[in-house]
Amino acid sequence: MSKNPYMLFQIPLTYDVDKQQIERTYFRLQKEFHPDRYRHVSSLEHEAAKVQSGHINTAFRILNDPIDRAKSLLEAHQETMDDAIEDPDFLMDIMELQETLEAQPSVSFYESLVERRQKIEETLRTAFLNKDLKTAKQALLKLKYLDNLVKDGKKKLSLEGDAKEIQKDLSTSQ
Amino acid sequence: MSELLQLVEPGTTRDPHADAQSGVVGIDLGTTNSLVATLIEGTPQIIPDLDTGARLLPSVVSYLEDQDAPIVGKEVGGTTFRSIKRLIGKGLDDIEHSLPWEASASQEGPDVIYLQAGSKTKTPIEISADILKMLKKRAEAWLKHPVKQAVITVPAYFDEAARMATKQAAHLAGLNVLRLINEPTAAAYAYGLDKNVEGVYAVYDLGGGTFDFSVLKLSKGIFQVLATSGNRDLGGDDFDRALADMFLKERNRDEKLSPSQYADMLHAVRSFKENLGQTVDLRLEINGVVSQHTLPPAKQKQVWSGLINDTLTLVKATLDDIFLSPSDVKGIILVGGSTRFDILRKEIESLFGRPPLTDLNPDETVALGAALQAESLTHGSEHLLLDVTPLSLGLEMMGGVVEKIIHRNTPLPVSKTQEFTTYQNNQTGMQLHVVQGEREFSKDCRSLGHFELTGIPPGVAGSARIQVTYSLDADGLLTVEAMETQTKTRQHIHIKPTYGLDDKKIRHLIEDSLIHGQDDMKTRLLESARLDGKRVLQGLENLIKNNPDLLQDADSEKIHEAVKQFKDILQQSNRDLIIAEQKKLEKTCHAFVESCMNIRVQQALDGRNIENYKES
Repeated sequence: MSKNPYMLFQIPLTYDVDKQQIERTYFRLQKEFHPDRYRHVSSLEHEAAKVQSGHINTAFRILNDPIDRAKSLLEAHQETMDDAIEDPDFLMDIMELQETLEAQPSVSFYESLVERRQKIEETLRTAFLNKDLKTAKQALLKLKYLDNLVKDGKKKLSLEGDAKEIQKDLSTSQ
Repeated sequence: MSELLQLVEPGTTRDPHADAQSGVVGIDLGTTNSLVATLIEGTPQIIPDLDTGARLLPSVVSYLEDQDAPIVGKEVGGTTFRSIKRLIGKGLDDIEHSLPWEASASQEGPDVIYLQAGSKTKTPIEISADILKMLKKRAEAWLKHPVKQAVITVPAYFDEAARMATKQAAHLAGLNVLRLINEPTAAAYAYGLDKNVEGVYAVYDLGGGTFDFSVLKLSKGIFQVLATSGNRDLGGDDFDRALADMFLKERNRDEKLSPSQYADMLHAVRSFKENLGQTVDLRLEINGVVSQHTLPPAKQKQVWSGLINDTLTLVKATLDDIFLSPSDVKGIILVGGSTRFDILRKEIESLFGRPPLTDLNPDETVALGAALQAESLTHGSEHLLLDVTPLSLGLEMMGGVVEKIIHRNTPLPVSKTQEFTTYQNNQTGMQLHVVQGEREFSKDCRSLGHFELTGIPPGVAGSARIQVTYSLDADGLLTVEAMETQTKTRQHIHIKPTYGLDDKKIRHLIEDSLIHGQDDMKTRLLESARLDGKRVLQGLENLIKNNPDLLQDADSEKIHEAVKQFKDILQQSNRDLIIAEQKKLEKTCHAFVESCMNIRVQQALDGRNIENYKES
């Protein structure tokens, strides 16, 4: 099992992290453990470095991703993520949002999704600040839903943009 | 490799003459031209031909009837092959343009073709090997010692078959490939070290046959690739073809050119294109008919803007993927001879808001970067290249849907584990199909290999826990391991590509996934609804079979009817209907299922083994 990213990068257990510091640590660790630096040394160390370097890459990715980072922060607090959402209205809301996104995606609707996502992230941030892990867990569960919606929304909007461009290309070439 | 095993602290500086003695080179095996470079006293340098001083070696190979050895670098009659890189790792079906050579399907495999050179039969791998041999000879003549190892550059978007074929060509040429590195990465490496710059840089690499775009962050000796994308079938050759076709139209004659006439015309058009700075006028003579053509900038734009837009669409999508905008890019490094047009440079400038960097020779940067990486891999260096995998790696699920395990643009090395479960009751084996690509369905991705995990303890569907781990090392080699967690039964394979995927499909992998994303998603959703439906149906049928006495006469008819009806609905392609009808079916059978469950609980409490009460 790989080490918790917070432990590996030796950073304080907070939701907000110093990305520049993380990148500096990432580069420093990779300079030390990347397998290419051991290729000419010995195959044994090369193999070991491969594993380490992989962990460092994974940890770096997790620390840069709000959801995975929150999850590993909870894990660092010995919390597991097997809870369910305790707010049934929220799930109903999500279903409605999904339907709207499917039926009539628009930039303004997308922006409202981004805003909702930000609000939940704010709740998550505050919960972590107050060491209220129960609230943090619920907020994280919700954040996952909103995050997926935002991603879907972005995909949908960019797809439509592309489709328009293709249409345009076709009409100009004729 | 054993000769290289020397104990050196990582990052220590090496003996400045060591590289020259060990014979390690960097090679840019290009569509139009190839180059070889090495480090001389710590500085990468192109190795010129000892006699002529030429730095570029045209990627042109001629085979003569009366001579075994090929002539590389110039056309001397016989059969001449050009742009052979466009054919490497491809089967006959994958070739979109008619070839000026006689080509046929080979017995080597679906991704190799035979080309006829008089009475000789050659594969693109052998022809590439002849170019590599020539580069090796050039380096050995100049360095005065044998050269055995090389870093060879490939387009970032080369698929596994093309990479494998390139390695085989090197092998045939007597070169051990230290690593294949991506051309744009090599260019950025050379540029960053030469100019000692920091920040986010992009590489726009338009070669003779391929287009690559990469974004890198350069910081204190680290070259971190953030994203890479490309199109392996878009290059300068296509610009030539577009131009030639326009000129043919202008001649306004109903003429049929033979493949070799067309090849000659392309040749003329290419040199015209390369000299556009000097003249915009061209005189063409085909079948004794002369025509005059002119190509002022406005007309250049007209003929090439479609191709340029194709590249810029990919550029924008790649930046978007990593949440960057064009203005975040500090410099755009141009690579490849095809980036010399003014109109292309202007389009790039208008997208990024700054002119592209032109202070490095776009033909030579890639080979210099390869030499630097070769040095780093054999002797160590203070610099480190952190590359990414350009294509996603996934596992085929039920219904042909691909679950991506390692996403594209993931830094290497990487190891990722995901848990899967059984689909049927008492399933003791599992077929794993490893694929590469961005599309939702495995049939649209490249198949890399199949393997089977056996010895799964029998149990109800969904009860087994199978951990599948994908490990991709810095050389791009993939290892897949599957483990059943209860018995720790393991199965693992080193993936060697199983050739045979239609390259036409790979060609526009990313663009396709952008364009067809919506269709894919719809089909995927339908498949998953069907799968759910089938599971429910299967469970229900087992219950019916095992509990005939629980089915009361009145219910029996209703339930049988509902099951029959639902089977028909599963055949239809209406997801909403499937979901709605499944709910109805569940409702109809609710009481029956509940009584079955009651019995089961009772039996479990009675201490009877549930296994004896198997659902199937």
